[in-house]
Amino acid sequence: MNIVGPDALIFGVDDVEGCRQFLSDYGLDDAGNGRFEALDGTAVVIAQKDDPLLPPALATGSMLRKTVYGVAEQATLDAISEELGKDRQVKKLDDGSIEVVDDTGFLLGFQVTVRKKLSLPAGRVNVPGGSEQRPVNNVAVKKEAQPKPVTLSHLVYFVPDYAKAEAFYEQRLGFVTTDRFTGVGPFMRPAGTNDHHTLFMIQTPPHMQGCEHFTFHMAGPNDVMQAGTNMVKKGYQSFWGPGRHIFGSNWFWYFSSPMGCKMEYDADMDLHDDSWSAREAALGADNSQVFLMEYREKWAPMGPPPGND
Amino acid sequence: MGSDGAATWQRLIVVCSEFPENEGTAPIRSYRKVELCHIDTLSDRRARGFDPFDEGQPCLFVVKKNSELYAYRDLCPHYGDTRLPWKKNEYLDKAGDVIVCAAHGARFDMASGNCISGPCLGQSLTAVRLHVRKDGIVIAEIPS
Repeated sequence: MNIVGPDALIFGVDDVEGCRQFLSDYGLDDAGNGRFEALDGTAVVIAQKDDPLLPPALATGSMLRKTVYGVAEQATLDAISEELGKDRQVKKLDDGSIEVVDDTGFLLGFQVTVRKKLSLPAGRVNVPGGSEQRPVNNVAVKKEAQPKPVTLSHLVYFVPDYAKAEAFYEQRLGFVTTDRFTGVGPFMRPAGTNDHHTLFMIQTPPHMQGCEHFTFHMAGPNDVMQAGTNMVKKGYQSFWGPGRHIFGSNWFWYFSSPMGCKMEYDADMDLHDDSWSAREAALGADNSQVFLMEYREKWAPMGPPPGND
Repeated sequence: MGSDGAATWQRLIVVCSEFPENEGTAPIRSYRKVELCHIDTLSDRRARGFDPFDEGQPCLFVVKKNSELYAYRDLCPHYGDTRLPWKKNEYLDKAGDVIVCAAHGARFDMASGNCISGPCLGQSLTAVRLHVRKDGIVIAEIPS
């Protein structure tokens, strides 16, 4: 199954205007009709929660209504239809995509991917003695930069039964588990990408089922730092970060969002192929972050000399 | 001082202790009284966060609904160290009916602080006692 990764996430939200502002400030482009796009055309789509065009909500009230995966070509779409049609309804939509419910109740869509091929310059750093340096007189930092998200990276589900969910994605859709947290859930990648994960699942009680967070890849660590700093300066609430994960090695910075879940920036995730052997570790700070930094507005006492205040 | 009404007040912080009847034993409750703002600066069905100890982040928030004031620590019981809003002062749903934690979507009853849906069902926000002084200044009692 040549599934490339998530193309779009569809949310039914309480505060459309708040979400519009948040997603624009995050760096996505407002493409109209509630669609907010990264550079490659992958997107977050929002609509008012009672919009009749939205798929129904989970009983838990999670705002995530649908996860739309991009596949490489029509043949993959046909193969998914045939495989999942064996034991459940596969709905064909007018736009050529298909819609199906997974084994834990999440609504999935599959479409020939909308991802545009990008040609971005590789990020270069000046390693002493390195063969690929950033060119001379090429200044790395601009204070006013507004880095753009490049592509929809991954999402994380709260699931009531991770083993059941993992089996569905592995056996029915060809996802591979790259690493796992013991008794919590797997990091998984579909066959059409080398990214360490496009899906991670966390086992929770059933009343929590929903989206824990989702994220877009940034071009590099500097863009994670600078985009996150721009968010902090606009008054948004940092949840966790900036830091760097261990499983996947991706840099991260998470923000609370009006979509009822966290929205992350990530960069420089590990790539794997089928020769990789999945690791396993206990979930906890020691195994989740190789380092963690915290934005700090005030970092030194200061003031005028005595008598000048 | 900017547009934040709280910042225009010279804040008063008083450390108080309530002692049990037997002398020489530890206080049963120790708290700090903190001036937050004038009651007229709070809007109905809106919330506002306060950072009375200049920690760089609010440690409590006040909600006004139908002339009643409610105050809670800005900590979601789900993790115990997570602040609720997705942006400064954004503690409520759009209609201003319930308190919402943006991190994972938990919703809380405004008057009781009890979680009514989401990950921390069965848990509650930590209430902060408020008094309104005769001159309209809202005072919070924050446990030490």
